[in-house]
Amino acid sequence: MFNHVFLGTNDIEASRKFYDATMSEIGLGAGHALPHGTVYASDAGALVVAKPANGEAANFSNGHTLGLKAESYDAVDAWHAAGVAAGGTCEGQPGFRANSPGNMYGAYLRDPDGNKLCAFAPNVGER
Amino acid sequence: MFSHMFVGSNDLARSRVFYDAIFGASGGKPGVIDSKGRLFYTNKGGLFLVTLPIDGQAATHANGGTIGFAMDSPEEADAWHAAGVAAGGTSIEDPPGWRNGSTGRLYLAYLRDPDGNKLCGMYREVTQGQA
Repeated sequence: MFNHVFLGTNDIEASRKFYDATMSEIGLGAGHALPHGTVYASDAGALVVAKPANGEAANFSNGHTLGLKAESYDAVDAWHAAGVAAGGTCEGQPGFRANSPGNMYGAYLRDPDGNKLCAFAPNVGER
Repeated sequence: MFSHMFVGSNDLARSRVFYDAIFGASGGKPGVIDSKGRLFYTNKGGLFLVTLPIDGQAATHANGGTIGFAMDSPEEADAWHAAGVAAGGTSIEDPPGWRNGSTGRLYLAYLRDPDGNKLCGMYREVTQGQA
């Protein structure tokens, strides 16, 4: 369904530090630097974190959440810890989410610009 | 890479008309409201959800945020765009058409949903040597 997602940033270095740290924990590695931001590409889509094209300040949406795939509970934990250590904000500790399909294991962060993210791993039994 | 996406809405009935139209034009089924009142769409292996913000505040769109949907052909991108405009969305950026990207030709169409969330329909031209 998804080809790519753009998220806005007002501080390329801060967002790159955050996403390099977090994306590495879910198997997507460090990003590729662009003049106006950073791209994290995979065979299954690309995330671009960049300055808005209209030259105005980036702001985040209320209601938007970008969900990322994680392979395991440990990867979710590592993604969340890396994000908090790299300038992000906890928006929900790692744990099973009863509102998700199949009671998946997930965690929530906001990036340094306030964009809301989560990483979810399939439920394969007790933690 | 992407497990799912939420976008915020201030009027789920209005959103449903719009997203039913654009997903319908790109091979998807109408949305389903779950027990939490969230509007669910599944299409092409992805999960897209529309929700009233859980903090009780108004939904707002980002500046700098765009959600890019994979299209199977330029014709599908055109149909997706036309359906969105007819169902309460707004055409933005240049009209649907080919753009020369750094990695090859892209066919792009842009919409804002009724709440202002920015969406892109993208078809990537398959060139010789690619799968």
